[in-house]
Amino acid sequence: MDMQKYVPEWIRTLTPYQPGKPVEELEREYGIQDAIKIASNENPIGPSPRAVAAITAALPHLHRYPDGDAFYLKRRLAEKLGIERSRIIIGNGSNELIEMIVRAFLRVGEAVVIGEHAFAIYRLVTQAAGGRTITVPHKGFKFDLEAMSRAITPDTRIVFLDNPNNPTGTIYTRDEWEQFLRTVPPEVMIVVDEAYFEFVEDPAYPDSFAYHTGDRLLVTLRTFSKIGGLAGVRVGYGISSPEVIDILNRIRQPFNVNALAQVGALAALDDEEHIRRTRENNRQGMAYLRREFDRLGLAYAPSWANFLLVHLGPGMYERLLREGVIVRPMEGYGFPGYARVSVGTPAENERCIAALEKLLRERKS
Amino acid sequence: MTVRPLDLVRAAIRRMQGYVPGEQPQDKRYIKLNSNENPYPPSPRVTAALRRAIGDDLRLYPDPLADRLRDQAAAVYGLTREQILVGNGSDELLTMLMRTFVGAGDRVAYPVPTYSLYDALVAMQEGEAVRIPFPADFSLPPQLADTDAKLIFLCHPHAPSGTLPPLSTVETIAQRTRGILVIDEAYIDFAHETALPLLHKYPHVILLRSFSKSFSLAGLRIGLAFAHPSLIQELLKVKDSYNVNRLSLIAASAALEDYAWMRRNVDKIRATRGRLTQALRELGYFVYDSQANFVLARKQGINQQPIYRGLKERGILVRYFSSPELYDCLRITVGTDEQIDQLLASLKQLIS
Ligand SMILES: Cc1ncc(COP(=O)(O)O)c(C=O)c1O
Ligand SMILES: Cc1ncc(COP(=O)(O)O)c(C=O)c1O
Repeated sequence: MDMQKYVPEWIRTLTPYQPGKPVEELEREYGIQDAIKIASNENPIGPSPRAVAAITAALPHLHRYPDGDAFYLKRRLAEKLGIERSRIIIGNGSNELIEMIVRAFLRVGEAVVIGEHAFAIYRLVTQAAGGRTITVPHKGFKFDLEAMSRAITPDTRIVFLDNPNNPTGTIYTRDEWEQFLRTVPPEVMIVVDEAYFEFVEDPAYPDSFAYHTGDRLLVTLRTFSKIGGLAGVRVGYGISSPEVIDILNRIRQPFNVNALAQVGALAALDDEEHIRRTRENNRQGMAYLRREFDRLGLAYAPSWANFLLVHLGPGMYERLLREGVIVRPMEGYGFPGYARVSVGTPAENERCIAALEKLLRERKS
Repeated sequence: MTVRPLDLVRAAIRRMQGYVPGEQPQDKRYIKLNSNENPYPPSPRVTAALRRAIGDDLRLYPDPLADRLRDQAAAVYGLTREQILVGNGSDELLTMLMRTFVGAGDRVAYPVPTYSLYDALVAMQEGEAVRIPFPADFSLPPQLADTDAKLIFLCHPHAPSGTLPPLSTVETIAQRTRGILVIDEAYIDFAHETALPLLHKYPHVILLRSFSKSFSLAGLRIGLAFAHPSLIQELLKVKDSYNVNRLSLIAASAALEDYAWMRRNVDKIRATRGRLTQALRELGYFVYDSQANFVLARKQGINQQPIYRGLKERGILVRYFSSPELYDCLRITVGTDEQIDQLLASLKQLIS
């Protein structure tokens, strides 16, 4: 069929997002067994047990449409955050919210400013909407906020920042952020994607939620995929002014968040014990991986999240795969020879290190 | 300077209606006959599969392409994996179709009244909606194909009338249009004939299916698009990376495995639909011949809002539309026999 007739060029030329392959598929492809996957920044200790119970309890009602307004989840989030419900929107993952923001605020041909090594979805979603991305080089492993602010053109509508940044794991500090806020024109929307917010334990980290003062266009995105351990059920949320949320609701599909995701997220939100255990596992796993990478002489970016960007050298991703350890190769993110390793359980971390050690020894000999 | 977000959004979206949540009364338990849901639960195999899946794996992202479900649907419907796309409800598939094929000023044609999401989606893409009124009998307006539209939308069976045009009429439109014909078969399992054969004959025909109605899975949001592989390929480019959650994929697979369960529920609903239609006619309504899981009942020239309100007071929700084309109608979802008996009893009281 002649696609030119039906599909605009910016969609025809788009290469879709390449997600990490599922474990089962890799096991089949490589003829391996009992592989571990520490590749997608998922929660290694599993979902919140309270979420699991709540989801099970909701099974008898699946023949009914979900609550299109996600009333109970929004109400509880609003209580916890101390804001009005009208300032919250729930998405089918925070991914869907990224998509909605671009669709609502960007016209064909207009620009979005992103960092060179930012989360890949911003660029893809912008292209699919017929927009342009202005890509600003990183300073080392970090966003160069000053340069990003200078890169804003008169037709720039949105700046995306993920803090911590995936895949580098770095954060920008409160000082950098406040300086950035002073220089970005007020009519440019700033989206701060805080998917890894709950893992950060640094006093210099600016929680964007504290900056919703009403006189600027700011959206904070969070997700239940990471700390909540619910990547499989798809639920995230956005916080902004009631006006922005109202606009996003206009383009939201009426039943975008499925019924089980709503009850699961609601339960996970109050599962303090699960959150505490997840953070503790991450703290220890992160310390272990850093220590071992140091010992093995592997360079890595400093990380405030639940993963590390580490330099393994060429061909190591494939070799690790054959050892049954699945990490994320980083060529696509502009980091050849690097991999992104998610913090796993202690056993998974040890297996990853053992495999690396073996492969490095083989490489030397 | 204070910024008003509304000044910055695309004009098309600024013009759109603010979001109005559907009717979700909390004051008492209603008999819900207003959302075209299935009154019966999904197959016990679905529940069993979900129980097995609700555990540690929820931490993992779902398969972004849903290949297992695609393969299974391919086997059930006589297609290949490459002809199938899975969506977060058929609503999401409709959204993806618009985003892929409709740009500013492109025409999208459909007969009206119809599923209200079409208007909203066209507006979002700044397309031009070519809304062609149905004749009173809801037969397909043949000029649909002469609109020079990039996309034509057709509900099959139609919503809200429940009527099903002869396949030959649909085929004529497929033959005559130079755009893409989207046949929305959300309710097709309740009908006697699908447009699926057209898919094999015309590469510009796209079919949409939903698990919300016949398969009793509205809460899980699963839809399927069937189309030529080259079209699926383009749609995949605008797809959200992890659009369908793990549990929905598992539920849909299990539902397809127990196809017979769905067919049994459909048979019950069709029998009840016959009874409901007959009884409404006896109450003086004109009822369109429905091939769906709802019926549209009309009292020519008489506003049905008081009846809708009276039913609501009696704990029964049906659908009332205030528009000039439908103000004298009620759309009633086919529930269980018991629910329909209660509806009819209340209706009789209200009418007399
Ligand atoms: C920075 C960032 N934002 C958003 C997401 C997507 O999150 P969700 O699962 O809520 O769609 C990810 C997932 O990896 C991420 O790294
Ligand atoms: C004609 C039509 N298409 C699509 C849908 C949406 O179905 P889903 O629940 O799969 O999004 C509906 C829902 O009512 C409908 O009536």
